[in-house]
Amino acid sequence: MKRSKRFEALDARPVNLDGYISEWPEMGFVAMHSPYDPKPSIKISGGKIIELDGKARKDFDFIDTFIADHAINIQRAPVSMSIPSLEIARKIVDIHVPRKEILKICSGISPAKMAEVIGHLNVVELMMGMQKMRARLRPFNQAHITNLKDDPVQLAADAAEGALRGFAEEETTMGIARYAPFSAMAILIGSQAGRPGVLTQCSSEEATELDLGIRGLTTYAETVSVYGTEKVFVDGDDTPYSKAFLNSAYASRGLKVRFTSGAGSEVLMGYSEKKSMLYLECRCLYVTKGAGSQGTQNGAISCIAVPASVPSGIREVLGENLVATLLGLECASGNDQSFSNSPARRTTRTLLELMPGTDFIFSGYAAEPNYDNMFAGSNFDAEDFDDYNVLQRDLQVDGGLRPVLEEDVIAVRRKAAKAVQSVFRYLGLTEITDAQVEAVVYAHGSKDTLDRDVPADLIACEDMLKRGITGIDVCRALAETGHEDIAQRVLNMLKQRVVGDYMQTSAVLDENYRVLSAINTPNTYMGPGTGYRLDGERWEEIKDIPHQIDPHNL
Amino acid sequence: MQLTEDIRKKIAEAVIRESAQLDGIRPEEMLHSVVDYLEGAEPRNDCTTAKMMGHRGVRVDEDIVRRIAIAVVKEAEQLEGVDPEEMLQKVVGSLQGESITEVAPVSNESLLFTGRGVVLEDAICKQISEAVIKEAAQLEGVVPGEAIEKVLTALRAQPAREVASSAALREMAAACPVTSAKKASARPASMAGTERINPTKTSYHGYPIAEKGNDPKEVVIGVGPGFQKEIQATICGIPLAEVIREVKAGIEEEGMVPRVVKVLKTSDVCFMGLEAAKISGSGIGIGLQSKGTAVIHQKDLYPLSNLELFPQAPLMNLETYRKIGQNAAKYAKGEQVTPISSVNDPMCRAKYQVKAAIMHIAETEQVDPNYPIIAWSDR
Repeated sequence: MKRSKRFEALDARPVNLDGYISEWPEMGFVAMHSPYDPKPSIKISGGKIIELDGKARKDFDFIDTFIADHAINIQRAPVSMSIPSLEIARKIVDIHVPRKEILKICSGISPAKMAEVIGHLNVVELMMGMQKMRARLRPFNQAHITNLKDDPVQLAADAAEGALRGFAEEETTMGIARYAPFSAMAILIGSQAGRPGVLTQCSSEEATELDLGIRGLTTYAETVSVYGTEKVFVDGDDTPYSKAFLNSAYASRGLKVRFTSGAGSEVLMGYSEKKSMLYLECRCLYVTKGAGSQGTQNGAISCIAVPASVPSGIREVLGENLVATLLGLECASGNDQSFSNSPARRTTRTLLELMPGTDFIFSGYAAEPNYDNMFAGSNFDAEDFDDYNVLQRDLQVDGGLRPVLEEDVIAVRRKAAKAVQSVFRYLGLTEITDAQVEAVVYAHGSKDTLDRDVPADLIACEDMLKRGITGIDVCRALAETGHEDIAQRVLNMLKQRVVGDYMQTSAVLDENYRVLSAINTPNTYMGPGTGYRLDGERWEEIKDIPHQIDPHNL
Repeated sequence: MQLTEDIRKKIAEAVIRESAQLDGIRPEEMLHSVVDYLEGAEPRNDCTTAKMMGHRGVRVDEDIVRRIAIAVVKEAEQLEGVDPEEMLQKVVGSLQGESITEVAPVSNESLLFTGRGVVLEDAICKQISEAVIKEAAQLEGVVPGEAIEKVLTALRAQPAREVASSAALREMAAACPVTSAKKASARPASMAGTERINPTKTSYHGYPIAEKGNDPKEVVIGVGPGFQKEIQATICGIPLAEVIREVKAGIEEEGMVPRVVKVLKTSDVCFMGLEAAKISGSGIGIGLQSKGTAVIHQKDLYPLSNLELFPQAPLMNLETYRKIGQNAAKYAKGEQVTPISSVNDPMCRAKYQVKAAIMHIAETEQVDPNYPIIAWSDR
């Protein structure tokens, strides 16, 4: 066929590199409502839920049982279930109905009813709901700190820069899983070099991650994944009960924990049971709540391209974020995985959480160039820092970041890289050369740094675990090698483990280790003039971007 | 008889696209001509649709057959009181006698259906034939003659009784896997209402269960349930036969002995790798999903842990698969191994995740706990 030049131009647009598929409920390719989704119902007898969403107790799978026994307020259920879904939806956007009342109602509704409520809200109403229902007063942001070489020096420097830029939490992961001990230690040191009080996490295989947490090399855990169908749980060698135990294991050692779930995982694993992504995610969030987790990382997460491939999929993603808040959970709202080649599409997707504000707008903003992002790419990366700062300034919204000066960034990167170098020497781990420190300080990504001796690093990692090195050893190493300030900060983070206040819902620490959570700083939004308003010092900080015209220099 | 809206639309689209290929012909004019033709009048010029098709010359894939078969059924359903089975057979019969340039004259054989007591006009015969041709035209680079041949083969392969209803033919049509890359402007048919990708599950009854090996030089490769059956190539199109050849060559290069098994109890790559490792004489196994995702595993590790994981299948190439074999063999020998450098494409997910989901569903459909792990000789 002779091609139309217009169509050729359109076909070549980035948006057409993305994957789309028409709705296919039988395989779970349906965002918000599948004809196979159950009708909402709760029947109670003898103090127990004996029917949930049309299914009798004898037919329950383990997710149903777990939700019925642990995630629904039975006292509240009869009243809540009798309120029409449309009315609940309207209350959510009604500024005169306070957050607390919505939480009370939602504590007694079933997962299918929750999905029905969300189905009544258009995308603007979902944002209005999020603005009111977000647990913490002030929104923050979380970074991914990773690189292709699993280089601990670069991890430390990027963690320090990320902390300076405003991230309240930082998460790392590895290309080679066995690097985990180095990575955890590197971002612990780097984050505290950048800004005291930043929480850190090392996403790895669960037993390893727990071990690193118990050693005090991390301060929170996030990749406790739950799923909406039994078969996917089983494929992951888990149950809701095992996840609840894992949650308790972390909590008992004073680590903040949130669960992970999101649209599309069941589709991708091949076991969606014909249900909509929203309904399955509701089940996940009820499991999260039932297991006693304070929060969730959701919003499709690593399966984002699945909801993004179907109609209304991105609306669903915000919808599931809202469900988390309706259940009173902290919500780190995704945006952490690349899903589109189109700048318009990826920006729009993030605006849905940035504009109303969530507890963490990103559950992983790539604080390195995306080629170094070992979560396979985030929706925004280090090259978008200025775009993001300008978006905050354009809209006067708080996305958790701030503009920074180049000299300040270079200084904290050097501080972090040198600290890691000293700690490695003190602990007898692998060599970090001065040349590597210098390369990393000025690097944009791992293309600008030196290669590591990988086999030697891996032996040292194993050795580090065998020797039982903990956060206290890191603290001592820092103190003994002239990094007393970072040593003190790492020690303060270890103290948090004993105090435990940061295990409350939506907690972050400010630079004085003061907890900001849904308990002491809850969201108070009830319409114009209430809630979190971006003003004062924080607004001045956001206003002050580089690259402004200087009238003196025209 | 009337053409459904759907068919009309498809025909119109096909005509416009086809005519755009012919120099000196305006699509609008051609469309009028075809409409006239369909309404029983003579075409305004001599460019028949069949002639338009003559410019092409590429192979016909399974998907085309599926779509053509559906078109035939749809057409057949338009005739009141007509038994679909007989109708189909008549169509087949009439098509059998025709070569591509003679398709238009099929319309002259108006007696095709009269034996059944139903009087069919020339136009109807024309329309049925044309519908087949036009369906073929929906896909770029297709010679309709070849497409018809394929349809005939497909139709002939079905015993008459099994084509007794349009539902049966639909099922047959659905059996053709959704694989072909369609031209940009062609919208794929909706799959809504379909419960599986492959309607039947392969039975591995009679295959030998894979035993635990004793040879310390052995490295076991555990392939996925759909491997070299329902799925023949990885997500980026590398034939699985070549993939397995490279992995084995890599193992052999290091002086170790490869053994291939098919894991049917799970389609999860980590569990597949672990299952392979557990029956491997050396305790080292490789998990290899049909879409190309791979893992090197060791028998005493946690399932979701690994020695090396290659999670981004679209970035894999044959060289990497060979290295996977080499590294697995080195682990088996107890050497200190330099892991294969990580690769990363942050836009992989955007392009491939949906395809990955479909391929994984196709693989997972074949999971069969009754035959948890079997010996597998690749071809």
